[in-house]
Amino acid sequence: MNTALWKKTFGEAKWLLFTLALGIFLFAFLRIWLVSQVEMSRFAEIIGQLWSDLEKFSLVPFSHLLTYPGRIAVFYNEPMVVLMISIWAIGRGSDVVSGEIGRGTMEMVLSQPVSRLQVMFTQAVVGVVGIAVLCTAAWMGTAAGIGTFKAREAPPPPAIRVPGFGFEIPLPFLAPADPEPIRTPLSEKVSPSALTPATLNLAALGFFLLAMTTMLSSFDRYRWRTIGIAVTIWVIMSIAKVVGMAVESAWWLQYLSFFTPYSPEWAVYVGVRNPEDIWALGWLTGTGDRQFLSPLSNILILLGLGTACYTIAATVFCRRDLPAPL
Amino acid sequence: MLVETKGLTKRYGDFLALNDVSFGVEKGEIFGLLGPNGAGKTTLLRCLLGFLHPSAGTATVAGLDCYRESVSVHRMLAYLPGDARLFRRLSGKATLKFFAQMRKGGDFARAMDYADRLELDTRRRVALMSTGMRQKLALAATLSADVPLMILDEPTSNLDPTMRSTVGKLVMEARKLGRTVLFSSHVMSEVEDVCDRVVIMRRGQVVHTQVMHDLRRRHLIHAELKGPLPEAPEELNGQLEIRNTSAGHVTIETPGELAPLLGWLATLPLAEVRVEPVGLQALYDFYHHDTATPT
Repeated sequence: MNTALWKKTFGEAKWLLFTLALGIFLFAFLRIWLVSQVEMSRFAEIIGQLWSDLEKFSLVPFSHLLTYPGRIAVFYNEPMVVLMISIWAIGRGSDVVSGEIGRGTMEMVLSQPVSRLQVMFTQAVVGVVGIAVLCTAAWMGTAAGIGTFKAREAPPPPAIRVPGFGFEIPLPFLAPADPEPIRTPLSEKVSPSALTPATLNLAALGFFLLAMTTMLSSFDRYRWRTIGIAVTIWVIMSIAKVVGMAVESAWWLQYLSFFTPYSPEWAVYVGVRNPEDIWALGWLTGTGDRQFLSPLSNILILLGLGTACYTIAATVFCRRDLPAPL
Repeated sequence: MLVETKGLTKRYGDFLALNDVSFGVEKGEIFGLLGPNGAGKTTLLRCLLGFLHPSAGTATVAGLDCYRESVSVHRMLAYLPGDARLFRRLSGKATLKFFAQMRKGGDFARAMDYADRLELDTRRRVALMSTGMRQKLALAATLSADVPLMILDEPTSNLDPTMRSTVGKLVMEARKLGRTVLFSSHVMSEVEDVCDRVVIMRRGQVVHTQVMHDLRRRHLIHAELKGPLPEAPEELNGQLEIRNTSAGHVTIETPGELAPLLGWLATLPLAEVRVEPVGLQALYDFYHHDTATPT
């Protein structure tokens, strides 16, 4: 362990990490506030009108989207969240080899008594810790929002209780024309722990993106080119997933995309439906009797692909020639 | 031998950057690498640092393979690249601290002392330093390492003449401390001043090895002839070579001491006598410009 190397690597990453962590926390907090502002009945109306078009893109049933865990879980699929994790992963991953070579600092570091593997390991640990910090910030942002805000709900219509029978008869014709909404703490509707599977899924996606970019970086000597290639792959994979879901004849495309194992709403749905299924391996039945990989399987796929990328990256970096800086 | 290469070859496709390079550097020696751009000096140094995988041959430092045992080799050496690129966000002081902490026995105070001697403002951030200042900073970090071998790739390339002289002194000090210095340069005078031995490289090959002590004894005597040149006495055989007697001009080269020749020279019908050391430049020109040169 080389303390100076750790300090240097953390020092280079700290401002990006701090900014993204703050951003993702605030975004999560704001997103929960937005959820609390829209009454469930209104939300159901909006989604209900679009559902026939949206259904093929959803791994969870309409009924789940009309629950607070379902609505909040959508946060993890917000482009902003995926983008922030991707910025960190691609930013740090591209710096590992091609960034240092491009700046000409790699030879100053490697002329010291440290191995190439040690340099890559240090960068990997900082990258993974950053992913953990960002995912924790995302989870804490949602947890803080859940603990802070109250859900806005339409009051139940007036009812009379039938003496001796223990049931109520609703009297909607007695309801006021513009009823004052009632406020219920979100914490009574959803527990932050229900979002843990989605957070882990986000972390697995971040780990994979970090490892994939590190692998690309290990072959290269220009950071801009590494970033360009990584972003291009990112866009192609996004398109493959969307087209695979939208076009029935091209269903197989989604299985070529690393975004397919990233399904945080599904992970939350499985956890709400049957918590034991979260830790199951293999396929589970979802909406319309369709089969989807279990949340744990999705996480393991991303972690496995990431580990493979890191193995390739380490092998390439340890064997390659280090060009002189230009 | 502290540093040794045997048949070291580095090939990039059809291009031979290094071709069968073999040489050795003794402990405590200051060893120079000379050659124009593209001669293979930096490739050779990068092979010694284990940055490049040799296509053939071996490079060792203290018997350790430079590529396979690079971490152990790096414990024994400090390296200054030709164009030192440092961490732009750090100050000079933080940079020196970083390098002092990177190896066991690193000494930050010593590094600061070297920075002072190089008249460097270490409070400034690297990003705001000139090329020369960055070079001084890298030099301070390199020279302060307590290691037996220093590899300096054109250490004075961005420095002014005063600082070049200071660097020369620091290199001599390193030798007094028992260190071995291997350095490449384009500046003949500084190589001549500090090196014990040099190799001249051309197109990836070592074309000449020169012991500087021998070179310093060699002189060229140029003069105008005022009469016929007599044969040299027998006792001076092997101590001089008469090379050019055309158009009333003579050039005499002395491969050894000059003193034994002075008496004989005084008896010759010569005018406008000029005596000059052979010098590294003449040797270099012979290999790189195909000019006439001493044997």
